Amino acid sequence: MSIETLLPWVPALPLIGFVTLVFFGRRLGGRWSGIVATVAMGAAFAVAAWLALGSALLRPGWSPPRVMGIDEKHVVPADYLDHPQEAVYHSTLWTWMTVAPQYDLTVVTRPVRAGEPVPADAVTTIRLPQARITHDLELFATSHRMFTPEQAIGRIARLDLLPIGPDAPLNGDRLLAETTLLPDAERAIPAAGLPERPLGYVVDVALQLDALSLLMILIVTGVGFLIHLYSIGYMAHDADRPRYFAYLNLFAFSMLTLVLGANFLVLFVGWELVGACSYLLIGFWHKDPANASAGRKAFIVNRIGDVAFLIAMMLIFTTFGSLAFADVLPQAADPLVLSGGVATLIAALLLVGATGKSAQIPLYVWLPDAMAGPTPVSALIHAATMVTAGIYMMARAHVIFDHAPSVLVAVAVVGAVTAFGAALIALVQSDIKRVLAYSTVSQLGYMFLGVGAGAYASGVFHLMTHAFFKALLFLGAGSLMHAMEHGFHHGKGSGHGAASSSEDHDDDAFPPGPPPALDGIPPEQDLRHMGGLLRKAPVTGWTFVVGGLALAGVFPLAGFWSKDEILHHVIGRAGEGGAIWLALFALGLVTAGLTAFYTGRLLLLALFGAPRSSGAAHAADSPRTMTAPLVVLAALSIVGGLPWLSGPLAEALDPVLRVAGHVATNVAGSAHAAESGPSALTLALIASAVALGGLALAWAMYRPGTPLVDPARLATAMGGAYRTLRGKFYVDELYAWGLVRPFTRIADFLWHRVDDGVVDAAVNAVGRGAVALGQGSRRWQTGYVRTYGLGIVIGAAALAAWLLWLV
Amino acid sequence: MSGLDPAFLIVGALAIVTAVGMILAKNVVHSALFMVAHFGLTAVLYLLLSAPFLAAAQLIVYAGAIMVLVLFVVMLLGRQEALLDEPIVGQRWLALAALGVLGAALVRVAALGVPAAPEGGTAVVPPAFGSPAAMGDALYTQWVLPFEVVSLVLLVAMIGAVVIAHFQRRPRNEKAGNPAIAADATEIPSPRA
Amino acid sequence: MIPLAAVLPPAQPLMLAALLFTIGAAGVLLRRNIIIVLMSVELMLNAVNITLVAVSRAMLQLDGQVFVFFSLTIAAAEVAVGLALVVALHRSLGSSDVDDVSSLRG
Repeated sequence: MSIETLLPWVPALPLIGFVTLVFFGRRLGGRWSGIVATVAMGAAFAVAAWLALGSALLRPGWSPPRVMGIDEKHVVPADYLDHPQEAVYHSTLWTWMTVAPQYDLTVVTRPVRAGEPVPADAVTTIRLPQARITHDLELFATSHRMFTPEQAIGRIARLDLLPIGPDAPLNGDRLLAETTLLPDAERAIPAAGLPERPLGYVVDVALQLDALSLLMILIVTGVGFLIHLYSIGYMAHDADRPRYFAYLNLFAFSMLTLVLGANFLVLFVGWELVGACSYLLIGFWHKDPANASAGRKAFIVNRIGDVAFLIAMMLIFTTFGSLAFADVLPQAADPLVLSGGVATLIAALLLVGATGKSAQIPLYVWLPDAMAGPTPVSALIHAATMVTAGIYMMARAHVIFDHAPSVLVAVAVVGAVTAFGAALIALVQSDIKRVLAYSTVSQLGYMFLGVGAGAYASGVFHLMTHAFFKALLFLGAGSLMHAMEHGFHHGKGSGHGAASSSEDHDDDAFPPGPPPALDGIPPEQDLRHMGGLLRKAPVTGWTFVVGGLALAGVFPLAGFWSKDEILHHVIGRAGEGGAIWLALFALGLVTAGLTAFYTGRLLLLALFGAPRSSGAAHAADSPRTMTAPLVVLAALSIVGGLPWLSGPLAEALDPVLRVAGHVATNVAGSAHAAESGPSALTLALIASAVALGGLALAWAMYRPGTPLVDPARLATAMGGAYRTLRGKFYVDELYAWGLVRPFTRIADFLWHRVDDGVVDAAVNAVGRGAVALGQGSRRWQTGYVRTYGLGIVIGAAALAAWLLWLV
Repeated sequence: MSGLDPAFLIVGALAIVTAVGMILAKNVVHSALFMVAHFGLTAVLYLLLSAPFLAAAQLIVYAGAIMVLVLFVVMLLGRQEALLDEPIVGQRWLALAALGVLGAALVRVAALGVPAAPEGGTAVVPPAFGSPAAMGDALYTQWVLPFEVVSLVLLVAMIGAVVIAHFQRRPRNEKAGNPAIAADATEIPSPRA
Repeated sequence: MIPLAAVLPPAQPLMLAALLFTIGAAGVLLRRNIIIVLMSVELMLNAVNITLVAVSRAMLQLDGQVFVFFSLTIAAAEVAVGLALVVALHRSLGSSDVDDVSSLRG
C-alpha cells in the first residue's frame, strides 16, 4: 500500500476504537473496553512505524519527488521559488468547503505587445481554482491580496498552470506562459474581471506526512499505546472504564489529526478536539466538584489561547489566500509576501495560542490543576503529547516566526521565565503529581526557549525525550500511588487507632488505614507519607529513578542531550552579541540546577529512607500491565537522546525545520551556534556539573538519616520565600482577584441588571402592555347595542362629512 | 310637480311630525299609533310619487299587518316602561352630534338630486306608471325569480318567528327565564345602579 | 350651495327621506324600549323606501318600485322575527330595555 493510502489509518484506528466503545462500551465491559482501545492504539502505532520505515522520510540525503500528491483538487507546485525541498506526502480525504467561488480567468498564453489586438489562438480560459498560478514576484505580491484589474494591467505574469479536468485546454501538459496582462481589460480579462480574491481556495480535509509529523505520530501512538496498556492495570477497579478508554481513544485520534493535518484548519480541529478531550478526562471523576472545576478551568484557559490562534488563522488566510501548509509556508518564506508587521502580528497571535495549549506564562495555570484527572491521563495528555501541541505548531509554522525576530525573542523569554518560575514552585510541593506538573510546565518552557532561539529541531528533540521520561515519571508516580494505596488497605481492619502521622520508623507503629489528608492532598500522593518505596516496589522504583535522572539531565540519559542542545543554541545566540540571550542562558542553566534539585528531592523523599506511613510500609509493586510500560519507557529514556539516534533525527527534520537562507540573518541557524560560544564539550561539562550539583544539594537536604542541611529549618529561615513558592506565587489567587472576580461581577451585572432588568423586563413589559391594551380596549365593548349603533352612526357621519366637505 | 308642491309640503311636514312623535312618545302604544299615522302618510307620499300600487301595499303591509303585530306584542308584553332616561354616559350628546352631522350630510346629498329621466327635464309621467297592472307585469315577468325567492324568505321568517317565540316557554312568575342569563345579569351591575 | 329652486324634483322627497332616516336613527340610538327601537328601525327602512320611489319616479324606471315591493316584504319578515325576539327576550329577561341585553360586555 502506498504511503498516501495508509496515512489516514493512523488517526482512523483510534477513531474506530472510540466509536466502538461509544456504541458497545457498556456491553463490552471495562476489561474488554481497555483491550479494544489498546489494540486500536497498538495498530495505529504499527501503521505509524510502517510509515516510518516505508516512507524514507527519516533517511537522510533522500531526494523527494518533484511533485507529490497530485489529485483533482490539490496541486503542489513543483518549484516554489527557491525554498528547500521538503519530503511531503499528501492524503486528501475530501473537500471540506470551498472558501472562494470559482472564476473563469482568461489569460494570454504568449507574449503580446500591450495595446495590440490579441490573436484568438493566444487566449485560453482557465477555471480557478483548477489552476494554481504562480506569478513573478511583482504580480505575486499583489495577486495574493486584494487587487483590481487596473492594478494587474501591464504587469508581467508568469503563469505556471497545470490544467485539470475534462475541459482542460491542453492535453495534460504543463502550460507555461509568459504574458502581459493587457490594458484592454475587456479582452485580457473577462467581463467578470480578475477575481477579487485571486485563488479560489478549497479547504480539504487533508493529511500531510513529513518528518516532523512522522515523529509526532510515532510519539503519540507509541507513548499512547504504552499508556493505554498501563491504564488497563491502573483503572482496573474503576467502574467507568468504557468511558475512560473511549475518551482516551478520542484523544489519540484528535492528537493525530492535529499533527497530521495538512492545513491550519485541520490542525485547529485537532487542536480543539484535544482540548475537549482534556476537559473530559480532567473531569473524568466528575462527581467531585473540584475535578469538574479543574476541567472547566483547563478548557476556559485554553480557549483564550485558541481565540488568538483563530485570529492568527484569519490573518494567514487574508495574507496568503490559503490555509494549507503547502501554500502558506512557501509563500511565507518569501519576504516580499510576508512583511514584518503582519508576520509579527501573526507570530505573536500564534505564540499566544501556543502558550495556552503548552501551559506557558501567562496561561499555564490550568496544567497543575489538570492533575485532577487519572494519572495516566496526566502522563499522556498533560505531559507527553497534548501540551506539546504548541511547540509542534510553532515548529510547523516556523517560517512565519522566522520573519518575526521580536516574537522569537518573546517566545524565548516566555519559555525561560516559565521554566524558571515553574521549577521554583516545584521545589517545595508535597504532592508528587504537582511536582511533576510544575516540572512539565518548566520543561515545556525549555522547549519554548529552544524554539525562541531558532533551534526548532532542538525544541522538537526535547519534546520527544521529555515525552519519554515525563510519561515514565507520571506513570511511575501513578504506580507508586497504586502501591501506597495497596499499603493503606493492607493492614486495614486490624484495629483503628488514632490516625496520626508518626515519624516513628517502626513499621508496625503506623496505624492501619490512610492518614488524614494534609493540605488537601490525598495521602497516597503526598510525598510526606512516602519513603523507602524503592525496596517495596522495585520495578516501579528503579524505572522512576531512571526517569528522574533523565529529567535532571544526568549524562547519558535522554534529558541531558536535549537540554544540552537547547542551552547550546541559546548560548550560541548569546555569542552573536545579545545580552538578553546571555541572561536567558543563565536562566536556563539555573533552571537546570533547580530541576536536578527538585528531582533529587522527589526521588529521595519517595523512594529512599524509611517509610513514613502504613501505606509506604506495606506497599507492593504494581501488576505487570503497569510495570511493563514503565520498563519500555525507561529504556527509551536511556537511549532516546543518544547522538546516534538524535543525529539522524535532526537531519531528517532539517528540511522541514531549516531556516530559509535569506531570513537566516534574523535567526541564528544551528550552523552558527556551533562556531560561537563555548564549545559543545565545555557546555556539556557545565550542564552536567550543574545537574550533579543540584542532585548533590538534594542529597544533602533529603538524604536518609540526618540531613546535612535541615529543610525544615531552611524553610523557617526563608519563611517569606518559602511561603510564596508553596503558594505557587499566588498566581491563581491573583487571577481570581484580577480576572475571575471582575468577570464574575460583570456576569452578575449582566445577569441581574441587563438580563433580568432589561431583557426580561422588556419581554414582561410587552406582555403587560398587551394585557393593559386589552384591559383598556375591553371598555369599548360595553355590551350595549346602542353604543355599537352609535359607533356605526359616528363612523357613517365622519365618512359622509369627510367625503362631502373635506375632500 | 315643479317647485314646492303644497300637497307634498303638507304630507312631508306631517310625516316628520309623526316620526318625531313616534320616537318621543312616552307610551309605547302612542308610539305605535304615531307610526301608523306615519306609514299612512308615507302611503300618500307614494301616491304623490306616482306609485299607487306601492301606496296600497304600504297601507296593507305596514299600517295593517305590521302595526297589528306590533300592537299585539305590546299588549302581550303588558305595560311598558317609558325608559326615557339615559343611563349610558355621553350617549345622548354624542348621538345627537353624530346624527346632526349625518343628517346634514344626507340632506346635503339629497339636495343634489338625481339626473331626471333620460330625455331630461321633468318628463310627463305615463299614467300607467306604478299602476298595479304595470307592477304586476314587472313582477311576474322580469322579476319573477326574486319574487318567488321573497316568498320563500317570508316562509322562513314565519317559521323562525314561531320557533323563536315558542322556544323556552317558562312559567311567567319565574323572575328570570334563563338561569345563566339571569346570573349574568345580577353579576354585571346595571348601568342605572 | 346649490339653490334649492334649481334642483330637480326628486330632491324634495329625497331630503324628506334623509330627515326621516336621521329621525329613525335617533330613535334607535336614544330610546331604550325595545319595541320603539324596532319601530325606529322600520322608520329608517321606510325612509329608504321613499328614496327609492322618488328616484324611480324621477328616472321613470319601475325597477325602484319593484325593489320597494321586495323591501316591504322583507320588512314584514323582519318585523315578524324581530317581534318574536322581543317576546323571547322579554320572557327571559323580564324587561323590554335594550340595555339589559348586554351580556357581551367586555
